[in-house]
Amino acid sequence: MTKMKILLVDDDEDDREFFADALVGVNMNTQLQQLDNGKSCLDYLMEQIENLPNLIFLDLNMPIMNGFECLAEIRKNPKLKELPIAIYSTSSSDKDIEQTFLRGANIYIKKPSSFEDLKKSLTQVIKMNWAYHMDDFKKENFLLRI
Amino acid sequence: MPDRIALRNRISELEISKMFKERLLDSSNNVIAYLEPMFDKEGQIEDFVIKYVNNRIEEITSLETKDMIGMRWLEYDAQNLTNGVFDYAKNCFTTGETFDYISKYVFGDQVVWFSARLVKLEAGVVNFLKDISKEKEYEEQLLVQNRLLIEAEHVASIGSFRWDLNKGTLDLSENVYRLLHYEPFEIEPTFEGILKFIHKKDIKWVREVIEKSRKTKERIDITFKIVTKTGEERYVNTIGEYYPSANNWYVVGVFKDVTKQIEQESILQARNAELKKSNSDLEAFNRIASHDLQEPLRKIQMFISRLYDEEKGKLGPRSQNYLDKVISSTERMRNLISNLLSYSRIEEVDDTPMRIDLNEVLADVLEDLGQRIEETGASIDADKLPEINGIQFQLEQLFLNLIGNSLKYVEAGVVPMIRIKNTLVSVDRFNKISNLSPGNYHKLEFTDNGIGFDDQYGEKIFEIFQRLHGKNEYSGTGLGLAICKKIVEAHNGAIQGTSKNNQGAVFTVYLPSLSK
Repeated sequence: MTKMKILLVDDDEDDREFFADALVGVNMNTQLQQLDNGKSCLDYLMEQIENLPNLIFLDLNMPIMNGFECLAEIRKNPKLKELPIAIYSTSSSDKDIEQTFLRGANIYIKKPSSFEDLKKSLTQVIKMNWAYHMDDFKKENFLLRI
Repeated sequence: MPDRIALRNRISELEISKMFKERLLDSSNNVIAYLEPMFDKEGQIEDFVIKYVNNRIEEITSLETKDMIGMRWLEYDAQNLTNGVFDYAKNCFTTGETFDYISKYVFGDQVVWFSARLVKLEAGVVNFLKDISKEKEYEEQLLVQNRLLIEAEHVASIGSFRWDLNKGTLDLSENVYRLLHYEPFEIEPTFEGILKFIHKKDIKWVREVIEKSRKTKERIDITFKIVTKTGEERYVNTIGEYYPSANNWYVVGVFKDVTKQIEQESILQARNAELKKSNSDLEAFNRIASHDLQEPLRKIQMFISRLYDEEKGKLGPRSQNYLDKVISSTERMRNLISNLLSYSRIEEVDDTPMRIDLNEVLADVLEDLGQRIEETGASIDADKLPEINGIQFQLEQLFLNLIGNSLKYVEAGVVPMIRIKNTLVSVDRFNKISNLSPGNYHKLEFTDNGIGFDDQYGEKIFEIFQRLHGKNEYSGTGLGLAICKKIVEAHNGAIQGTSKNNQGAVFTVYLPSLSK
């Protein structure tokens, strides 16, 4: 099985560390790339256009370019628009969540407050993403809120 | 021959005189009397003899002419001396000058006013008396009414005016002067003169309004500031209506001192603005604080959970105890923040109310509470619940908080029993509940067998951050019921709590029925 390439875009260093550690704990074949704002995410994707990640975790509140804008840019680009995107944010506001789904997010994860929960969420999302890539279910069904 | 002619003339004179006496004089609407003076030893007039009086006196008074004629005037009626008419008659006789006067007589219960004239005629005086009692009465009434009006104006802080547009003159009531801190009629009232009292900030637009209304003849109703004689600033409301007369217009209206009202109004407005601001400040603060507080707290919990994972089993009992306390404290804080956040958000929901089946709401909430219900072995028995118009997640929160409380606030070892009763009640002017507007309401009673609360706190428990128990006794943020109250009120309902200590609590929620 090839490695699943995961991109995490989050300006919070601690959260990136939690994420990376939890991902190790998930114990699946993954490879993590970390970036800290929407702009650097877009730049990276354009650079890696032949070698795109299999799943992007995107924080909303970030400097330079926030997650909303970044999400919209990705969905606008024909070469990127199929990328599975999981929003990974502290916001639990229904308005924010609705906005991200309207802009084409597949998954919304509210950043959990325990390491165990984080591991659980990541496991669930990554399993689902494998299924998606294996064409086990249709893209329009690839929606999840955690 | 001349004697005969003279005699004939004399006879005809007498006949005419008789006719005058009996017909002409009697048909006059004035009292006419002929008085001849009587002199004392010094040659002074001491009285008059009533030589003649016409019938008219009988119509006005109860006097009779036959009792009067031949009588001495003052002897017959001494009022002529006291009201001065005797003196007028003496003067008239001695000087020969005609004399006009107004006099008053009292005959029994009757008061009669005469407008009279005395004319010297040959050896006596003729007294013409016109009855003006009616006019006098009207005049008195008018005076009384005027006095009343002046009083009323004074009491109401109102002054009235009449403005002659052609002449530019003003008639002002007494109180207008008083409103300007002058003595009545102390200054010459002119239109231009009165404008000088208007505050310099207001004079320009007031002039414009008046100029415009002069053309359109539209009613004036304006409020402006004036500066009185003593330099005091007052607010005056002026209302004026245009009335036409031949070739001219008048404006008739009132000035009213509205300083008190304006001051109270502006205080009220300022207070309202302040309240609004502090309210929205509070909500904004609440939102920001709770949102921004959540971030570091989440990280603290995250680090704790990692610390716990890594150090589990390696910590001494004291350190383990400390860590447990840190965990429970952060959990409390997280609850508090998320409750604060939902409290501040209740009113700003943009969701439009939808038809909500409360049975489903209850089922969802029981599922959420599944673990607690299982742990405590609680039994929950609910009537069939209605459908209402509302916001789903808020109603879930309401049920969650109420049922959650019943599960939480029980004596250790007691199995919680919760009963939810549903009835329909009607609120009208005979059956008032809280401050619900009239209509049909679902009355949902949540009854439990918990520790209850002292009934004197029935109101207080719904206030924000009111806790009736020590923190360690029962966990709670002091926001649960405040959130319930806010949610119910946002749904145009009401909530009440009653209890006796140790005998369970009843929380009654009224929510508007779909059938009005």
